[in-house]
Amino acid sequence: MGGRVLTLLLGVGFLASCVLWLPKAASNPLPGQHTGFSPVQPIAYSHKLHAGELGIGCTYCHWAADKSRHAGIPAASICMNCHKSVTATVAARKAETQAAEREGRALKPVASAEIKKIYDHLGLGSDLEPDPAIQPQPIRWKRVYEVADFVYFDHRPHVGAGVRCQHCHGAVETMDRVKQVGSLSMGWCVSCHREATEHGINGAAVNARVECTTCHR
Amino acid sequence: MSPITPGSTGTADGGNGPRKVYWLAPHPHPNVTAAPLATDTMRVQIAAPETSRRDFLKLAGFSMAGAAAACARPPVQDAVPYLTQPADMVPGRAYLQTSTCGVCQAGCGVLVRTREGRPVKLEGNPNHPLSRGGLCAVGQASTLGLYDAHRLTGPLKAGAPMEWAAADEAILAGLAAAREKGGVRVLTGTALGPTMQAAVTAFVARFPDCKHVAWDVLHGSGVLDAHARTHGLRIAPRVRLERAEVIASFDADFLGTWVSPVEFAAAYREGRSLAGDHTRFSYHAQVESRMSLTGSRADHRLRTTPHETRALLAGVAQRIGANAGVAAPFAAVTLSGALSKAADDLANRLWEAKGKGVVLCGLTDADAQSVANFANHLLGAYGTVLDLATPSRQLQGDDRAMATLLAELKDGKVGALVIIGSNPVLQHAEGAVFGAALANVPLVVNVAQRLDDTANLSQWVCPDAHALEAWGDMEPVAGVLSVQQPAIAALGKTRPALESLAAWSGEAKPALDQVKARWEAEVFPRMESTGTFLEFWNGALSTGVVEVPVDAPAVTPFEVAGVQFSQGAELADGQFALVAHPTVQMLDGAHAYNAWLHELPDPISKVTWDNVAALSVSAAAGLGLRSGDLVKLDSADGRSVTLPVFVQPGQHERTVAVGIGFGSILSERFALLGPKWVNHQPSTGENGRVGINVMPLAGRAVTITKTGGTRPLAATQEHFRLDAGETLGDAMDSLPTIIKETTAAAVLGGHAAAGHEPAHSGAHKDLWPADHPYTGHKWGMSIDLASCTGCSACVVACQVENNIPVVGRDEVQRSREMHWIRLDRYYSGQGDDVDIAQQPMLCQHCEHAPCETVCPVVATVHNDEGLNVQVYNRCIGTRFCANNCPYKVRRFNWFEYAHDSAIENLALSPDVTVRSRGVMEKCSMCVHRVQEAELEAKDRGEPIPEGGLKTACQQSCPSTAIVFGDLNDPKSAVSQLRTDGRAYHALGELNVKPAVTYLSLVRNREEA
Repeated sequence: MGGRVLTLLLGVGFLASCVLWLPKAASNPLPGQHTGFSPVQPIAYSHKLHAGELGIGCTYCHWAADKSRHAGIPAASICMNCHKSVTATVAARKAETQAAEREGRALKPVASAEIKKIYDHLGLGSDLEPDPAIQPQPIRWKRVYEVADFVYFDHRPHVGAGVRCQHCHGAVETMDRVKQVGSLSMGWCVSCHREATEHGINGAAVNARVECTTCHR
Repeated sequence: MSPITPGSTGTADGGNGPRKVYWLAPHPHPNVTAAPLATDTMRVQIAAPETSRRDFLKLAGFSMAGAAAACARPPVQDAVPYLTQPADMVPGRAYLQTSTCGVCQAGCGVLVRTREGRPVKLEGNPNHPLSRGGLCAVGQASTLGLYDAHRLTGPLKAGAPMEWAAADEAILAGLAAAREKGGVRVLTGTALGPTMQAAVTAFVARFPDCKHVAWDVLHGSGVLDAHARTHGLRIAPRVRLERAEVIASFDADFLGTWVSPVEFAAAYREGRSLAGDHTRFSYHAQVESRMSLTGSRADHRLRTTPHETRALLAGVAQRIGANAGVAAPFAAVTLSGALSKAADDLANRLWEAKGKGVVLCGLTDADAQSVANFANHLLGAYGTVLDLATPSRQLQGDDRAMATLLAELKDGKVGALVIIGSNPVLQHAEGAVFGAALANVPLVVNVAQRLDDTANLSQWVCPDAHALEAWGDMEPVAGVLSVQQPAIAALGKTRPALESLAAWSGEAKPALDQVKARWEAEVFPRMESTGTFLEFWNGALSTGVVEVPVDAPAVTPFEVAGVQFSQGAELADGQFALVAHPTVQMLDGAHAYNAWLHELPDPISKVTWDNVAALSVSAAAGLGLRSGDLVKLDSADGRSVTLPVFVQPGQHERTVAVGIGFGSILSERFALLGPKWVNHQPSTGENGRVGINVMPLAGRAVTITKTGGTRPLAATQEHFRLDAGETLGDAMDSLPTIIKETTAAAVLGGHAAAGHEPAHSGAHKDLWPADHPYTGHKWGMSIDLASCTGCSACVVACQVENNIPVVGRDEVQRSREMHWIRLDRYYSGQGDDVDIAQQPMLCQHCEHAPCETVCPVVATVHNDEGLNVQVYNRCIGTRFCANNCPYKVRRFNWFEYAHDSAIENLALSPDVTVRSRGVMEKCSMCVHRVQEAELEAKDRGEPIPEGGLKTACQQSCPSTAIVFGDLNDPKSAVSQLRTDGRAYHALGELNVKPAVTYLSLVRNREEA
């Protein structure tokens, strides 16, 4: 008796989960694959502007890409290398200069809404000096690319071998908000590794291993 | 004594002498693993339907809802970078920084491996002249203490949290009151660095009639007191075992727990070097009443009662005196026939090795130590093996001062008591009296990291910082100084003891300033360096250790009158001598909070999660006892404890040996440890703690009464056995090759290879073609059984490195312990007259691995560098591989061994996958370290330097028994060792071509 109820409930549960899952299955080919994932970030940082229009190299901000497993999300202090002086758009600053001239007053600090978020996080006042009233808070970016916990990807050998960042991350320099391009599935990794070993990278022979321990340990 | 039927297990082909038979446990089969396991109780549980079915349905429903939800959207994780990038710090890379191990008085140098500012592993510092890169099991395990969720995070007054400012104010007021009345006392342990000593001295100087009492439960004060008598100074010599040719140890467990085991293990190995230009092999005799780790390594071992140990020591000293023509200044001891002969032999051997022979005495009484001094003086050991010019600072205890303190406490004469790093309520024989007397003291301040047995009874508890959080220093041997450098900011509101003492001395000063000031004033000038202090200081931080010249202490000429000895009373009939001894895993009990150490099998008994009353085979047979039977030990003065028996071959039949440090209040936390399932049993005993505190009976004569109850022990000795077991073993034609032994004479004479042809090489056909070329690296390992002491540092090192879970007592009883490397302990011989062989057993990474062929999902495969790899994400948990593994090294995750505490999860290494339920795991030969080294080498465009890649077990090994390297490189150390005459493969007849080679055990005796 108890066994039959159990089976019935399990069956109902299974059907329910299938029904719930099916609509999602169309957009997500396999569980765990998130191609196209593009979360809203706490600061509307644009790679299109920085990497595309301004032409800043990837490793200026992601400076650990050739040194470590992680390419690294830059510390706010790296943003401040430029944003110490670049506080707003040229237009906004020009408008303030003109307004100040017109009204015969001193320049007021101008900071665009998104750039000001960096200053707030760093606990800086409007004069860009530390303001004891503002508690520094780390920026909680949303992670876009993530591999499973049992996968150990290492940026260092990839960058070292001359694989372009765009090869996996897509044309980031055209994205306002970063979107996941590569599927990060194991087949996606392995096929590229095989191809690289066969054809080399930029004409140089490489040994892109496809041993289990290359990524799993 | 009942005859022992050996349970098969393997042979030695020493080349000389008869084949040796090895066995795991005395027969008849002890009650150890025959615990009422699984079936019966499980059936009962499943038959109780109401709760379990409901729980099951709930879980089934939740898991389906979870599965549905898990596919709904990508898990959004936060990525939180630094606000301000620290200089010289690359996220994702590990950093090593030097420091000093804080767990005991030995003061080993360590390298702290940190990831993103989080210490994850301690390694030995190879620069350190004493520990030489080794680190013991307890040191390895101490990172868990840092992330201990039960550690105190701020001051407590009578158990209620306080702020530091308020606490300091109240304590200063209390101290001021005590200054008027007098009687301020400071009680410390003996792991005090020079700056800490100075801080204590400064504190003591502020109060009239204030006294500092240093107390050492493990070593007492015999060595210091005896040298005060014979050499005029209260000092302890530095023992340089590498200079000894004959070592006679009387109850000194110098490879396990005595004074500085890591230093001694390294030196001992150097004195028994079988390779290289300087081959030699010291002779080691051990006289002891229990089976100690050191005794298990001895070339000659004598079982004695504690009374006989003393008598034999005196007898040997007298015989040496006779050889030297100096009469011993005490009455001649009478020795029975066998002992007398042993004394003659030992004295002769020592005398022949004059200048290179040494007597080590582990007895804590000053009389016995003075006799040892007498013998060493006549042997010329002072100045060679025993170094008084740079004495050891590892011994600081003073038993008489402690006795005085206890008396003062009882009489209410103590006005204020400051306790730092000492837990006498647990560790002292009169602990209960000490605890009760604390109520008589107006002010008790305990600087402890946790609410230990003494802190629990202390009015004020002002938590000390963990050694990885605070500045400090150590000087284990005069002139060898190392800095204790913090690797992380304090996790709670703790305060280093240095700062607390300074605050209560009225001169609050950060610990760093205190250490630096002292080094600038005391250490730097001794260097006679031309540079600045800052350069010197930075250099010291970089290397972790400095050696400065010291003035030799002014010892007086040997004072024979200081040697005193009287034979104590012998044991009465029916009485047993209770030997309370420290164990490798628990030491003095200060680390009883540490689950890694409780689950580490005792190297000899293999018991986990308990202390036991070890009895010899014959004594147990005489009393009708088997392992696991509960016995009551009663002393004449009415003290008693009830403990499970463990039948320990090799122990003296009139002694009962019990480990100390157990039964601490710190172990109460383990009641709920382990997977939570219907049949879960606590890891603690009936007292709610792990083990029983036996200190109240230490050193007494006891009677043994069987209670009739049993407590099945969680002993791993017969888990994962390589042999066929009793039944099958008898039916087998030949015994498998597991251990091989030879003699030093055979090796040094070049005959090691005799009988050591690679087992069955070419005799069998290979099942598989040799179609794996291994063109790049081919990793392999060699383990020298002659060097291995069985200290188990590798086991804990591996556990820390590879995120190996703790499963708890109940699961260990079910053979579900998870250690990737274990120490197999084999006996040979009959009854209590046994030898012990230790064999580290880990995945052998067989070229023709039996596990690989049976995996239905190819989750375990060979990689192109000769490693047998386990792919967790492929594994579906059939356990076929474990079944087919001849070495029984595969471990299955029966449960999700979740870490419930977020802070304790910080101890996990981010370089190794945390395995989930249902997957198999095993030694990976630290493949993450291999990859890191390979990437590093690729980056630099250079090959991996020899010694630049070490596995975790190899790194921590104090006696460098483990060597890992590239077998494709003929010049690598591991390749060289493979061709050594002693090299063999365990179970070589199976022809599975292991990547691990063992080098046979060597004993310095006539026959292997």
